Amino acid sequence: MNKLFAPDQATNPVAVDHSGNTICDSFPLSLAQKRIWSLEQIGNNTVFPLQVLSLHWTRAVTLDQAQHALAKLAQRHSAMRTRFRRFAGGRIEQFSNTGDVPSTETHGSDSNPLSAIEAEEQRTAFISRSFDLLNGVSSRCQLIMSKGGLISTVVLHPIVCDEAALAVLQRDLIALVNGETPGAADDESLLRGSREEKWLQTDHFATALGHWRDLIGEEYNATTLPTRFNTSGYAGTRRRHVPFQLDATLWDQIKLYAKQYELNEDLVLSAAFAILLARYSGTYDLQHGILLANRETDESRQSICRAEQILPLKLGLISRARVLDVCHAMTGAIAGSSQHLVPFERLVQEIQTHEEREQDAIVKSLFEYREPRPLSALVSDTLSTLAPRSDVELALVVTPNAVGGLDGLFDYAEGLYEPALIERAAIHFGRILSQTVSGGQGVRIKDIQLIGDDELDILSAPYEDDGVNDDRAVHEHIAAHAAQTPDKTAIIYADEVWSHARLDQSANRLAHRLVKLGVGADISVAIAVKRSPEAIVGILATLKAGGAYIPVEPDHPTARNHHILRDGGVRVILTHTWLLDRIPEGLDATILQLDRLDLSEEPNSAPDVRIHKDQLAYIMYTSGSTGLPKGVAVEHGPLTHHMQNTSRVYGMSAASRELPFLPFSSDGGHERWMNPLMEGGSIVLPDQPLWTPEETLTAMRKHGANNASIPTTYLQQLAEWADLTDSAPPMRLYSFGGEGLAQQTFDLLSKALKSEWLINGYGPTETIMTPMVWKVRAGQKFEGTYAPIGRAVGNRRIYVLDADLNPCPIGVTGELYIAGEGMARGYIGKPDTTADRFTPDPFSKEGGRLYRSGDLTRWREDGTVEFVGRVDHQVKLRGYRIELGEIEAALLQQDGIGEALVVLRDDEATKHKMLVAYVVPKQGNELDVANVHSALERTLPTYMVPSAIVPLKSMPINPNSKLDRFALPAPTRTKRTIVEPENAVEEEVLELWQQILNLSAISVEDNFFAIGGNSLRAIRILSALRQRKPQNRTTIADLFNNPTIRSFAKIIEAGDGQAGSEVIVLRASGTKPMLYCFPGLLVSTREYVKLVDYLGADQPATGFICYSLSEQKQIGASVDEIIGSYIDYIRGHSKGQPCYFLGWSWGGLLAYEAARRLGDEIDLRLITMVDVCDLGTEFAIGSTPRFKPDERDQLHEMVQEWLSRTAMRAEWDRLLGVMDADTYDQFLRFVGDEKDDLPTDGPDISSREHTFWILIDNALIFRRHQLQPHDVPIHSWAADDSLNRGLNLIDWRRYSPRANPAEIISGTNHLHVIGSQAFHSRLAHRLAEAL
Amino acid sequence: MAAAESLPETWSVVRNREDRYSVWPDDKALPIGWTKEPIGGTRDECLQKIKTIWVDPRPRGLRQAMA
Repeated sequence: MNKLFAPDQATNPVAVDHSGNTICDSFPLSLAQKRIWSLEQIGNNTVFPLQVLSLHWTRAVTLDQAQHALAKLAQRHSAMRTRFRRFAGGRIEQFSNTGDVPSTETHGSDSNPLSAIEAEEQRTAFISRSFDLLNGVSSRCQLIMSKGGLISTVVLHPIVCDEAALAVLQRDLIALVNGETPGAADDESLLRGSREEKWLQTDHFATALGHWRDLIGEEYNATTLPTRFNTSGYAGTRRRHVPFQLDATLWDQIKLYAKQYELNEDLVLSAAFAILLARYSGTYDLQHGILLANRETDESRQSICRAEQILPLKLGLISRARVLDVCHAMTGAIAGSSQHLVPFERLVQEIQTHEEREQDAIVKSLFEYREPRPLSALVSDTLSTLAPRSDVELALVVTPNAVGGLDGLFDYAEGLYEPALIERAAIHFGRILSQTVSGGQGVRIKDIQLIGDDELDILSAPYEDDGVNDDRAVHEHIAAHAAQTPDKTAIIYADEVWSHARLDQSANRLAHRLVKLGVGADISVAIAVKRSPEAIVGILATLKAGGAYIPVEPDHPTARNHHILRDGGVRVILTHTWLLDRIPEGLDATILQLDRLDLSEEPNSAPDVRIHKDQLAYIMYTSGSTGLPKGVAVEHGPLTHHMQNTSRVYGMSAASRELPFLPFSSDGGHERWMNPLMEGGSIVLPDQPLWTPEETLTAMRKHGANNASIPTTYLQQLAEWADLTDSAPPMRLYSFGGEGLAQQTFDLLSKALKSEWLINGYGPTETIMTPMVWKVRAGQKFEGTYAPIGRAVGNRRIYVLDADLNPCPIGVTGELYIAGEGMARGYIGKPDTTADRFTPDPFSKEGGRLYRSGDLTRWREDGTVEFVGRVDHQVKLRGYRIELGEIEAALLQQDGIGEALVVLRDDEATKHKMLVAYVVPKQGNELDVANVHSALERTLPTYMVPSAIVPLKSMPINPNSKLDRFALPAPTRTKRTIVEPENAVEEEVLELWQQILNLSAISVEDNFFAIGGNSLRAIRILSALRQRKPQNRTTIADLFNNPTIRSFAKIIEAGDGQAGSEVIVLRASGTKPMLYCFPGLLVSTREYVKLVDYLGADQPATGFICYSLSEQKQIGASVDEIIGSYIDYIRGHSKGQPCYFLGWSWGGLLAYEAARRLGDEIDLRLITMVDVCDLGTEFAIGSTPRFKPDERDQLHEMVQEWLSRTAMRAEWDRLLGVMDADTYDQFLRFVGDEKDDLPTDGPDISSREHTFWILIDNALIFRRHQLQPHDVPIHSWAADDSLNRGLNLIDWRRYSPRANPAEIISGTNHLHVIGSQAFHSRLAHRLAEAL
Repeated sequence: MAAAESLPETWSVVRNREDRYSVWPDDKALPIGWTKEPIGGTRDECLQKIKTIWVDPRPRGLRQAMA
């Protein structure tokens, strides 16, 4: 049972101080205190931990001495005696009584000391006890006489104390124990709240706020370390710690460095943290925070209070800036901003004002330096631990320790960060510092090496492969098998079967001819034949002649092929007669028509041509993102080594029979036929550029293929077909590549393709075929948007580097670089482009080169590489950095979408940049674009939701089987079919809709909410309808339940019988217990749509419309009357059955009362309370408002004058008429506290005045309502913003023994929490638990 | 930051033992096995120079074997 729910309190669970101001003066809380109070109210004591001062004294200190000193300490600092009182309605104030003393418990004595273990047990128990702030002072003391000496512990509630205050306390306690009298204490702690309140009214505050608005702006990007995949950025409440130490030598050097360059020591540490953030996030425009002690005045430096503030910092760094420059920039930024320091709680409210979306935190990472505490010869040990505040995602606290070094602690949200990443970050923080101080003033950010050579060696290493390569060229390997196993099958192609001998001899004969035509080293031959055995013969013949082959796909665009033939400087073109018209004229090349060529005179044996490892084997043309295709030239040495390594990694053998589906215009297509033939195996060559999935699977089965290589762009449909028909033959290995492989596609093919092994291949043409692979057993799972691309193959190394070519730590996104032997010579005829992309390899000892891939990747924990996206697919839109792949991944999560592609393009009409998504539905699926769009709105931040979604039959593919982004159609506005009204009622309703939605083209089948309808508009439609048809009794619920003109008109026609309900069926079906949603003020139930969607098809839900929106609005109804109809409905539908309640805002009170009234009639599993505040702080019975002299009369006159003007006079008169004199005074106080003028824009339902009226009406209803204890399971949540505002959230543990402390939902506020995905996921979790 | 930002970045044309050319920033240690050509400037200027001096794309080994 909960401690707070003590039986003696049960009759009066909320202690209210009715004594008014008579005992002594009390003072308002500061904003920071209000927040801590709110956290305390909802049972959270982890965000701000208790403040603990534990000292182990030497034997010289006696129990008496310490007792005496503690008593004096409490006299000296009012914070130790601070009490809190709650006024009627919930207002909290603080005060202290001079004579009060905190409790001091004592354990052990000189004659009977505690053992060290016992002492520590007592101490730990003492510091973990919670406070009851309404029934005692905010500190307590403990003295333990242990065998090792005296241990004193003072615990203070964080509402009255912070870290700097503890240092003051320690200093004073030491002095007092020492018999000294510390200087006069200027105790100002109780006054801070009212000072702050006053300051917030000044121009100084307005100026300060202006500074922050300018500095941070509306669209910002708070910097932090990389978060885990798929966290969606939502921090849970659980925290984790990574403690670490920096040794005394380093700390001494840091102090020396600071002294030398006239810096504060902590600034060097803070700069190192900024550098860590920059290097880890990849952005040098930083926005993070530091914790300031905020004790600038002498008084504040003496007083025990909560003064610390988070100071947001914005730093624009560059990687070639010196660390010293960073220190200076930081000094400037701190000096510039700290004069505009604003309470962080207020700053967040002012900056995070976006109405529509959840907003990111302003500060996600925080640095805190703690000054060393004052020491004394009397103190043998300080027992304090680093316990940072945990209101940001990630905090680093550093403080000098007793052994002359530094203690550090990373404190972070467990759900967001990978523990291993934080552990490495701690190591790297130390490396930044040690390299800074050892390198002197010249050290730049980019000079700092985070990754050690040995680590890099492991991370960059290729697949383990002990095999030894020989230097024979690829065709020589293939020829060797023709000699050994001449009759064995080499190629199956339609009805043809080619043996190894036939293949080899055909190639030999052609090779002799080519030699005669002058083909030799670095001379190229075009293979302008479609994929066929003849093409392979042509390729092998070219290689045997010593030449370099260039594949040219006859089906590809003529312009492209002409460019290749000219650019590649071909000496010979191998083709067929029927393709002659595709060969450009005027080429200085011999054309051989293979179908007319008589080679019978040429010898069957190989020509005697020696191959040098550096001569070219092939030239492969790749489409760049712009311009004409470039020819990538590859030499024999790296090629044959690559092929031999690949053979071993793929496990190829003479038994291999592969179906190579990749086209010959991509180098991967050649790898996949060469590999089996080099091992003496065989291939099943498709006779068409594309086979249907059925044809593909049939061919595999018919010919007994055991390997298949498939372009990623084709995988989805193949796997879908295999899954649907269960027709996949068992295979040893599938390999694929060419595009990022989405997780869902991988999981599907892993299941459907019945393969033992899967290989995801990756590689730019420039690094030869498939330089990287990820080889796994089928069924393997991975985290991430795309399948990992694994490790290097063969004589290569893989690096993930930042823009300065520094290796990125694991988990940090950087560009992929490939180094080693396995790369191309370069681009034909483009020395400058070659020099640009192939740069010196800083990690090579022998003049090696490094190829820049243009792909964003990161190292995974196991050292394999994960594909993140293309460098050029990371776009910036309205200040946001967007990874297009992330949007694509979100699309692929939707049912029915097989492929997705997102591009940033110009809106043709407006010329503004916009995101456009292209989607290909899965086979047999019809896509509802509107559904997809709203699904994205639920899963992505608004700025990432594409402006248009274009369904395509298939993605446009360029000649290399890659997506062709340039062939994507511009989005067009879709035309809807307008269904005209069929009868007079429909016509009438249509007219109303047109008028109120301000739309002309409305179909009678359009969904009201899909075309701009909302609850306010619904009410307007109803009131307009009421004017036209006074006898009509339809309600807003009818419109919500029947949201098309056609269905709504039917309800109108049916008359009273069907209509008149406050109940909205949000989801009718589902096997889980019904979820009843109780409304807050003006809640129409539309607010729950996202929530219900999230909970899924199996979770039925029913919503009640707020009584203020229903038609039965009456003055002065009681809570009992309001919930009467809800209870009837629930009883009628869920009697004896399990169900859940959800209460949002004031609805929480309704849900609670309904639960109490229904009692055992239903099986209520859980009430979920969402940001439920105690009502009527201002209108509470017994709360007497305070006025300045004459203020009451002035307010009264103001109200009377306003009433003479407003159109809602009659409604106001009715409302004011039911108020007694005290309540009217409360109303005046409320009006006086409002910042805006009294509204006169009523009575329209959407007007401010109407809302104001409803608010006052509600206050009158709930002020009379008293919550009674009731034993019911409750779980509650609080919006971050409500805590920042110090709202009077209800701690349900005071009413029910089965209530939990509330969880905090960050980045959202009272109004938007209900739509917050972070909330949805936690709610789903709790509902499942309660099932 | 202003001082650091205004520093121009200079690059050099570099060459390895196989006579492959590339570019390298002057403020970063030159990788082993590469030597600086006496040609410098912005990155782009260096690449433009390479266009004119790297006429034979063949590595030195092949060039010698074919000679």
